[in-house]
Amino acid sequence: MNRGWTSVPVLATAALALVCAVVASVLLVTAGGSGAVADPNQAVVDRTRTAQVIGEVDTDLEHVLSFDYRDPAATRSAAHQALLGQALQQYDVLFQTLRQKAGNQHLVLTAKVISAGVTLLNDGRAQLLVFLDQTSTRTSDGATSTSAAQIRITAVQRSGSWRISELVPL
Amino acid sequence: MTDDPDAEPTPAQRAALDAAKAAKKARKAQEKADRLAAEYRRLSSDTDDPPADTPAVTVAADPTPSPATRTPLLAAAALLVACLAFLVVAIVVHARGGSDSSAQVTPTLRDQVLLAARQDVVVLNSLDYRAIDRGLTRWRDASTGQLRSSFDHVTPADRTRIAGAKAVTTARILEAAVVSLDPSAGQARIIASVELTVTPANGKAVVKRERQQADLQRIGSGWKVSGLQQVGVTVS
Repeated sequence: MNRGWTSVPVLATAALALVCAVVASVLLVTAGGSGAVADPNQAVVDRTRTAQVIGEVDTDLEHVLSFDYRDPAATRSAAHQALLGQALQQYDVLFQTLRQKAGNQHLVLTAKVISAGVTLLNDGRAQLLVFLDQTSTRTSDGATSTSAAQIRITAVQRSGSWRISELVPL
Repeated sequence: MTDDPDAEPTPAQRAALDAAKAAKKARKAQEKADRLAAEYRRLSSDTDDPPADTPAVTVAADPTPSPATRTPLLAAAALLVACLAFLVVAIVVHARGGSDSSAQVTPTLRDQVLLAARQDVVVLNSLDYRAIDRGLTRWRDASTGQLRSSFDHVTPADRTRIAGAKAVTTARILEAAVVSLDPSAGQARIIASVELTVTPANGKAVVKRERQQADLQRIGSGWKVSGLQQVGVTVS
């Protein structure tokens, strides 16, 4: 009996089995996409969520940074839906001055996102770099000017949708 | 430490005893087999025509094919089959993971592209009028494709003009983001907010901020800029 377990064919077969198991384990370990799970920053990596945050932030920015003297309330309500915290406070200050100026000059501001990229994307927080053109038109004399803006955006996810919590012009 | 025969044997002692018993049993079995073999040999040699072969002797002398000793080999063979199956599964998983990772963006790849882009965009925005040749070499090293070949067509007139401007331009990336990244095609696009400082030989430095967009291409294990442009305002 004892000799059966230590005979050459049995040991050779067992050794071969061990080699197979080791090689298989190594293959499995190296197959698990290096670091894909370890990094919490899923910007660009998670295409669906990256596209989602860009889409929502772009739309919000265009609404919030557009302004029509004939309907100032529209911008304001958009801002209160899209903005949070510090961004909302900044906006309220800006809105007051804009409203005074806009009424006199018959001002229309139109914001358009040219390009946007996500630099950080984790569970509930994202950071973006957004290139945005802002065109202002004075309907009183028809003068138009377009300025190139570059903004660093911080967004947080609240019950599924992204809201802008910080807006830093670069 | 006394050898008390009445004392309860420890597990180790019990195991040793059991082993000794088993060995004795095996020895007895072997002896019995030997005896039987000898008997068979004696009987067969007594006959007038000796057997052409002696299978019984072989069986008794070589214990391999007996059911009791075949069990370890069967167990080892079963283990080998299981491990081979495991190996096949692992190879399939590995192969599939490999093909997936070539089409999928990993955090490491994204960071690698962004780092290369930041460095190259800084280089391609920097020039010192006192070292035009070194600047052009660095531009070529940071670029590829059409952008790179455009630097080969710098004429002596261009050099004279650059030297005449007597300005040192340095660049700093305020923020940069990957806009698109296609690992299988080896192509990427990034946008960057670039701060440029132009310092004339005589005069005050001028700081300006530019929106820039760079296209990158994978060259070997690294990434180089194949196109760089300023993102101006769109007039509609």
